[in-house]
Amino acid sequence: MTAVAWHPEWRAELVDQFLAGVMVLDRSLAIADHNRAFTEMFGEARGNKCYKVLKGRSEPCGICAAMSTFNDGRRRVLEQVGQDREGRPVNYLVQVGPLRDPAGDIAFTAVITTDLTATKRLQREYQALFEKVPCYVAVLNRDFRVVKANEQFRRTFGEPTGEHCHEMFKKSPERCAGCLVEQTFRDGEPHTAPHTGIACDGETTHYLAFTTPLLNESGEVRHVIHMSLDVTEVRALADELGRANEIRRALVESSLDAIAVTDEHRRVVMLNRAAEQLWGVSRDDLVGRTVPRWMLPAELAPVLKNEAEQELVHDARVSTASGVQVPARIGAVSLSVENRFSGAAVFAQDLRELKKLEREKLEAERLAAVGQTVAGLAHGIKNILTGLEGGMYVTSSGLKRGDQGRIRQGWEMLERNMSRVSDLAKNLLAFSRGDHPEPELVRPADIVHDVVTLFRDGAAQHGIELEGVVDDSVEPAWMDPEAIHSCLANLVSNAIDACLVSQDPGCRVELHLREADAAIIFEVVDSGCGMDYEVKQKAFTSFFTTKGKGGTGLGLLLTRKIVQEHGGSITLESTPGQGSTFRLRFPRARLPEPQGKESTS
Amino acid sequence: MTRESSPRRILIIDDDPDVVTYLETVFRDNGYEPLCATDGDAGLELARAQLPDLICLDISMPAPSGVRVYRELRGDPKLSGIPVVMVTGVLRQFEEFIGRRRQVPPPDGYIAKPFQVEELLSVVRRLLRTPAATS
Repeated sequence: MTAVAWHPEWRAELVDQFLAGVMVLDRSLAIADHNRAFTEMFGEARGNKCYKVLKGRSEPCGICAAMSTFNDGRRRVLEQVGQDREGRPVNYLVQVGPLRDPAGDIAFTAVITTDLTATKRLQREYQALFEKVPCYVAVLNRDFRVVKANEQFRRTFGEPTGEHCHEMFKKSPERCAGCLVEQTFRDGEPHTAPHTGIACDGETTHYLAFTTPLLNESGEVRHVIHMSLDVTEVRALADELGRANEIRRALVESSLDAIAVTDEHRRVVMLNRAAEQLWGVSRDDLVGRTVPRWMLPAELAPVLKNEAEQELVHDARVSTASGVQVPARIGAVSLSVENRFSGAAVFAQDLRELKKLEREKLEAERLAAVGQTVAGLAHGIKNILTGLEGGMYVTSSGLKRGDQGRIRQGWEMLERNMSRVSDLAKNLLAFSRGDHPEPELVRPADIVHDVVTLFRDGAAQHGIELEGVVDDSVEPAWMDPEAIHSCLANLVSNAIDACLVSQDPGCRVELHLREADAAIIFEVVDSGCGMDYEVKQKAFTSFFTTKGKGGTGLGLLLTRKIVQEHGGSITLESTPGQGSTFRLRFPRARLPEPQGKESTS
Repeated sequence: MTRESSPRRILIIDDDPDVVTYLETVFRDNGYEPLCATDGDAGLELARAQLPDLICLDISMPAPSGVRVYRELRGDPKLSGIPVVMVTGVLRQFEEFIGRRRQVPPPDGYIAKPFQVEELLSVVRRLLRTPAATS
C-alpha cells in the first residue's frame, strides 16, 4: 500500500469526527460553522447567535468568554449550563481559543463544548449516596481534621467546623490509641476496629469503624475516608442476651432438679450440678458423648430420637454410673429451633429424700395406730377387770351369806370374763404379728376370689348372696397377701353379720376390686342394717362392738392397722337401714417396698 | 339412824350384763332398790316410767350411746332433776368432751372402771344426801 499525502482540506472531515461539539464564532458572536457533534447537541445553527443557540437568550451573556478571548487572545476553560436542541438543561465544559488571520488578528474564536451532563448526574448520585448512606461517613485530612461529613454523621456528632476527628467522635482532646486514620495514612491500606463514641446529645454510641485511603492524581494519600456503622442497638441486644443467658445459666446450674440437654444426635450438650449428683457422673466425661443407654429409662428414648414431643415418668428408677437404682420422677421434652428438631431437655427429680420422708410418715402413722390400740386396750382391760371384780364381789358376798344362787352367779361372771381375757390375748397376738407387712407380688383378684370362696356357702345358708365384682385388668402388686386376706375376711364377715340383723330378707354382700388413679381399691358393700352416726364415729375405735359380748371390738382396728401399714386408707359410708360400704384404697406408690430392692440412700 | 321408809331407787344402764349384775348386787346389799337396763333405749323407758332417785350410766354402749342417753335425760324436764353418775373406762376423754359442751350441764358424778365398792357408794350417798349406812 502506498502512502497517501495528507490534504489540509481534510481538516473539516477531521473536526466532524470529534465527540466534542466544535463551533466557530465571528466578532458578532454569530456561528460561522460547527461540526456534526455540535449539531447533535444543539441542532443546525450556522448563522445564528451563539447565545441564542446555547442559552436561548435574545441578548449576549453578561460575561462572555468568547468576547474576552476576542479582546485578549487568551484561551479559556469554564463550565456552562445551557439547553440542548430539545430545550433540556445541559452541563458542558467550554474551551475557547482564538483563530487568527494571516495578519495575526483574531478573526474568529473556536469554541469546543464537551457534554458533562452524564458526569454531573454521576456526581449528584455519589453525593446523594454519601449523604444518605446509613453510616457515619467523614473525610479526614492529614491533620486528622474532618473536612467533610455526611448527613448521619452531622446529625449524630454535629456540623464539622474544622475539628479533629477525636473531638467529634469522642469529645476527646487526645487522639485515640491505635488510630485507624493514622494507620491508613501510613500504609495506604484500609483498617477496621470497633469503637465507642459520644454523640452530641451525650448518648454513648457503639460503632464499627472502617478507614480507606483517598488518593490524589499522583497516587498519594491526601485524605482518608472514615466510615462507621452504628452497632449501639446490636450491642444493647447482645448485652441483653448476655444477661438472659447468665440468668438461665444460674437457674439451671442451681436447680435442685437434674437437667441434661442433648443435641439432635443424642449427644450430651449440657449437664447441671444436680444431674452430676443424681447420675454420679462428671460433665467433663459426658458432654459431647452420646447419652449412655443406662442413664435414661426406655420411655424417654422416643423424645430423644424426635419420635415424641414429651414424656413424663412419675415413678421411675434411674440408674447411676455405679449401677445403683435411684427412685426418680423423670421427663423429657423435645427442643426445636425454627421448627427443626434440635435435641431434647431431660429433667429428673431425685425422690430418695421424698421416699425417705414418706416411709417416716408411714412409720409415724403406724405408731399412731399402735398408740390408739394401746389406749383402746387399756379401756378393754378396764371393762374386763370390772367384770372380774364384779364376779369376785358377787361370789364372796354369796359365800358370806351362804347363798348358793349368788355363788353360782358370781362364778359364771368370773368364768365369762376369764374367757374374754383369753379372746383378748388371741387378738393381741394377731395384732402384734410382724412389725411390718411381708409383701409378695400378688394378684389382688386372687385374694378377692379366696375370700369370696371362703364365705360364700356360709352366707348362702342364711339366705345372703355374696359376690365378687372384679376388674381382671388390675395388675399384680406388692402386698402381704395374708394380711390383706384377713382384712377382707373381717369386713365380709362384718357385712354378713349386718345382713343377719337386717329386717330385709334377701340381703347382698359384694366384694369389689378395681383400680383408679394408680390406686388399688377394694370395696365391701352390703345391703344390711347400716349404721347410725354414733356407731359410724366409733367404728374404728378400739374394743367398740355392736355385737354385745359376741365381738371383741378389735376387728376393724386390726383391719385399719394392716391398711395403714400398706400405705392405704379405709373409709366408711353407711346409711341406717340401707347398708354400708367399706372402701380400702391402696395407692401403688405407697405400697411397701419389696425387701432387698431398696436403694442405698 | 335412818328412818325406815321406802328404799331409794337407782337405775343402772350398762350394756355389759356382768357390770349390771355387779352394781345390782352392791346396791341391793346396801339398802337401795336397783332397776336394770342393758341398753340405752330400755334405760330411758325405765327412767320415764319409774322416775328413779339416781341413774348410773355407762358411756361406751352401742346405739344409743351413753352420751346420747345422757342428753335425752337432761333434755326431758321430768328427768332433768335426777342425778346421773357416769360409770366409764374412758373417764378422762369423756370429762374433756362433756366439759367443752356448753348446752349440756356436766353429770353430777363420775366413777372410773374398775371401781372400789366404797368409792361407788360414797358418790351415791353424797348425791342422795343420805348418812352412811351402818351395815
